[in-house]
Amino acid sequence: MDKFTSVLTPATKEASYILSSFYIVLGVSVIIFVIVAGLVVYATIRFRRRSGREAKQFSENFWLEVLWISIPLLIVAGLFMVAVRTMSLVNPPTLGDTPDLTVVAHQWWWELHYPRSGVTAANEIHLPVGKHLLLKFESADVIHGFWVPAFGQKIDVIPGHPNTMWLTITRPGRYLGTCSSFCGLGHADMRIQVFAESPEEFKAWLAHERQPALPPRTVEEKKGVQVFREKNCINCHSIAGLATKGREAPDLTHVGSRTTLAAGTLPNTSENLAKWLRNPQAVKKGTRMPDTGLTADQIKYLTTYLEGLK
Amino acid sequence: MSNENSTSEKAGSILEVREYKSLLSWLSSVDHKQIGIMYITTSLLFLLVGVALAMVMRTQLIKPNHHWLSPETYNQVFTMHGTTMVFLAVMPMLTGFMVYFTPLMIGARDVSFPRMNALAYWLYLMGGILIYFSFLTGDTLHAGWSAYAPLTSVNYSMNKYLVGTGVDYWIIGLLLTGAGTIMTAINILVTVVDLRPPDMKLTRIPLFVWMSSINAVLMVLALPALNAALVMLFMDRHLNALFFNTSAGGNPLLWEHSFWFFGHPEVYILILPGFGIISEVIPVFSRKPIFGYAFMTAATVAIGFLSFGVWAHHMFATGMNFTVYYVFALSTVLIAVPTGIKIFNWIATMWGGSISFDTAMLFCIAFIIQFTIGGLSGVVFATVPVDWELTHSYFVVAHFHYTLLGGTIFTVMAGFYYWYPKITGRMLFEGLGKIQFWLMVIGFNGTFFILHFAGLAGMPRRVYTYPDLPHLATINLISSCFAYVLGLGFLLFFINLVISLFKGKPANDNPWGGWTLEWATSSPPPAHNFDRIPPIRSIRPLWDLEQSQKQSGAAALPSHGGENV
Amino acid sequence: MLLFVASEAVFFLVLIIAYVAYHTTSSGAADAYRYLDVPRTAVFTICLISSSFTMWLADIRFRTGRRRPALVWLLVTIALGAIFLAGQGSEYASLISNNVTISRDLFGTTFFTLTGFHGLHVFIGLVMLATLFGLELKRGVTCPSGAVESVSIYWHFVDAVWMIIFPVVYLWVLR
Repeated sequence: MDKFTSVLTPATKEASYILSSFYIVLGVSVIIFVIVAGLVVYATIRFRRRSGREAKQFSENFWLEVLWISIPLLIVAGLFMVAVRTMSLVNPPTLGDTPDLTVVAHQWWWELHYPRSGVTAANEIHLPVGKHLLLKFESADVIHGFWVPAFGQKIDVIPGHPNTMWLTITRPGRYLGTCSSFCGLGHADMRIQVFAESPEEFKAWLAHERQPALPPRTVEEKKGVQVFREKNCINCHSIAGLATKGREAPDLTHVGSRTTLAAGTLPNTSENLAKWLRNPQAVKKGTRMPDTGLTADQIKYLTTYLEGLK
Repeated sequence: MSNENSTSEKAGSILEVREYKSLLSWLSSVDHKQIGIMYITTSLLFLLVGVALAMVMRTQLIKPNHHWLSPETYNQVFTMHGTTMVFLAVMPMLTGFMVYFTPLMIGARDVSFPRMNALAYWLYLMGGILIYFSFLTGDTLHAGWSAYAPLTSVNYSMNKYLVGTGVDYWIIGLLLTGAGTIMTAINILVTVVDLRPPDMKLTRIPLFVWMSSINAVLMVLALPALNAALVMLFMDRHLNALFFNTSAGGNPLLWEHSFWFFGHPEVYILILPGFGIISEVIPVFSRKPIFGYAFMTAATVAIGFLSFGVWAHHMFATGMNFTVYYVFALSTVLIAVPTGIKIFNWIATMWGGSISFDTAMLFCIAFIIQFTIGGLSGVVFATVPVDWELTHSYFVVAHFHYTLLGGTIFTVMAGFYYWYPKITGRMLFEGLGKIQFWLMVIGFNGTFFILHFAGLAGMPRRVYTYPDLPHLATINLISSCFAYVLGLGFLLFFINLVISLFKGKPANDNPWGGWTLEWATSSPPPAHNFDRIPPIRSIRPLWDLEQSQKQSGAAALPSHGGENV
Repeated sequence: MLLFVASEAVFFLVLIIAYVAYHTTSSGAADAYRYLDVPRTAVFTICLISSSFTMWLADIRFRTGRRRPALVWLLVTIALGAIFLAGQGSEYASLISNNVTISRDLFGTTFFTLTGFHGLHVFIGLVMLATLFGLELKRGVTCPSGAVESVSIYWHFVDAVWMIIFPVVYLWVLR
């Protein structure tokens, strides 16, 4: 299995605990299955109908019943203990700590806030490796789910009911995840990316994100800003240093530096950004991004400006 | 004895029964046998639709980034697949068997409330049609069969890009079918309590009747919770109530709790009659009585009881407090124990027997193995932290298809091959049955076993397409190919049902040498069910009869139907 | 009928739980309480409880064949039930005129849903009682005693549900 997308290659301490308990349950299950299937196959072969042999008419045995009640009881009690122990390892109490990252789920994108440093971003998460991180999850609309398989547990993101998760990432890399609770048309197109990096790289990224947007330099970029204002993009999208009113849609301050667009569904290239601007519904059916009726030139200017927001 | 039906005109096949020839007799029937047949036939039609929807889903998922279906369409398809299979195909199919066979197996003439029986069927049919009406308008529910709020609220469903106004049809349709289910459950329970002949003590009723009765208790107590949840949702949508409106303080978890308080007993409702069928078929084809009758009954009561205490295991990922999780994790692992008892008892029934491999028995054998896999993957989910990782992924899709398809549907197939002769007076074609069996076993396991790995590879459920991540393309391709094999198996089943009606070998009263009372009358039974009921001294009246006739030197009646075995 | 009552009990249980859950977490209740007239509702509650008693009296007389007294008590039961419903209706009117509605806040939502469905069940009960009365009145048509017993169970159930709703909604006030 790939190292960054699957359950079987844990990248956090929590995921490793979960995987260990999975293997325990799996092991027990396989043994039980082999016994049951073995008995069935054996009985099927040994007791098939043959002339000259009558069926034995026995139909009860108290101690046999006791045996196959008590052994499973012991097994499930054991599994319950495993579960309890793992639960406290994976999710110790939060004691009202400030989260390291607050994720607000929207239909169909992820709003990100780093409370300790005041950074606001969207869709692509950066986190430091090796620290015990607390993540908080809220929803702006319906129930969503946050799941990065290599990180372990998933958590439902429920409006009116914030949830938390602890993560201790053990190896750097680009991890992929997905929204895991059906949330409408764009559910399958609401992907998660987490860039796990060394604490120094993370600090540097935070510092970079804290900067306001690069001001437009070329003529085309300036025209792009004009389009951005005229077409009322500022009503939904924020660009720090330019317009910070919009909270309905992803923050675009450093959109040029992201690797993907539209919550992980498109690689971030000029062509793809243009494609998105031209017809959002064709890329992500149901998206709240309106069809703004931009002309080809307007798209060119806007794309140039936005791609320059590194 | 069982061949003497001299007073009534013995029909060779159901097509020849005079009373059944007019449409009016069906529309106005209050006879449990006709109503049972109507339930079964209608649910077969819905099953066909549900299977077709599944084929569409697997075709859409055959490769990554596939855009054959739009997300709107796919979301409607998967929602209707779930709703149809649970409410309109499987539950009514089992209800049909319960309604047809409960009176026969206890030696009664009909159920206690024949007119309510009929009403319940028509409510089911009307409810089902109403739900499908929305589908035909292109705007049905598309939020999954569990319809979580607030996605189903007016805010998110009035826009054509979002959930769909079909939610209302779904709500009312389910209220109708739910009312019918509660009525039938009451009917079955009162029948079993009131209409048994004096000798048919509760310790002698067949296990199918025991399991149907316990199932009925579950229906009476679980369906109202769904009704309450649906009512609250309807009021939110149309009377501006605030139950699930988070900005007013409403809580989406109230929907989840109410729905799953119904939903978990519901899945036991979907399996208990199936367990009953298996408990009837295995003994007959192993030529021994069921092993551990008392423990089987006690285990079923335990399952019934526990099933009301496990619902929040569907909500382990919602961030509730750990005490709640501990309680529900414990109850969930506990419920595995009585289920295990049953598996071992069925194997012990086969043990030392003389097993014949008619199609009905083949389905039972496959069922035991497949249901064990489904049950064990359930235990995986009972381990809370593992549930945190794997819920809402294809691992859980694999789990519940192993229990519902590899489990319930296989029991239904066994029930058909066993009881079709009794209902119709014709045998199903065994050759075709065996081909169907192998197609289904290979197709089912090929489709769903590999989906466990899709979950492990990180694929969530309810997605119209998926990215080209490692292994997902291969897994889904294999799964879809086997799905077509499974679909072919279902197709052969429907074909067998139809052609056997006309061309199947005529069946006598007891083609399999069964021992319960339904085999003590003609195939199909006369309107009044029995001319004479044999003495009832144990759970196997016909076996006892045979033994006593052997002892008194009378010629042994052919307990196998001669050439039919 | 007992089984049907069991299923309706679960239905009400879920609605009661919804009321209780929101009562303890939302803030609308304290305000809305100003408009609930507990003493007046208590009077109507007494009517409903008495109607259960009179139903019991009617039931006994039916079973012992005293037809005319049975009919009288049945009529009294119907009257008491109708008074209860009228009282509930006037209560709803006064609440709505004070802007306490189903969509105003969670108290309104849960209050109207819970008491509304209860009222609906009372109404259906009245229809059944009236049907019994009408059938019995008509000469030559006698109710099978099973019918009287069934309706009686249903009516007692409806009363029992109110015995839970009244304290929970009207008497349990959180400041």
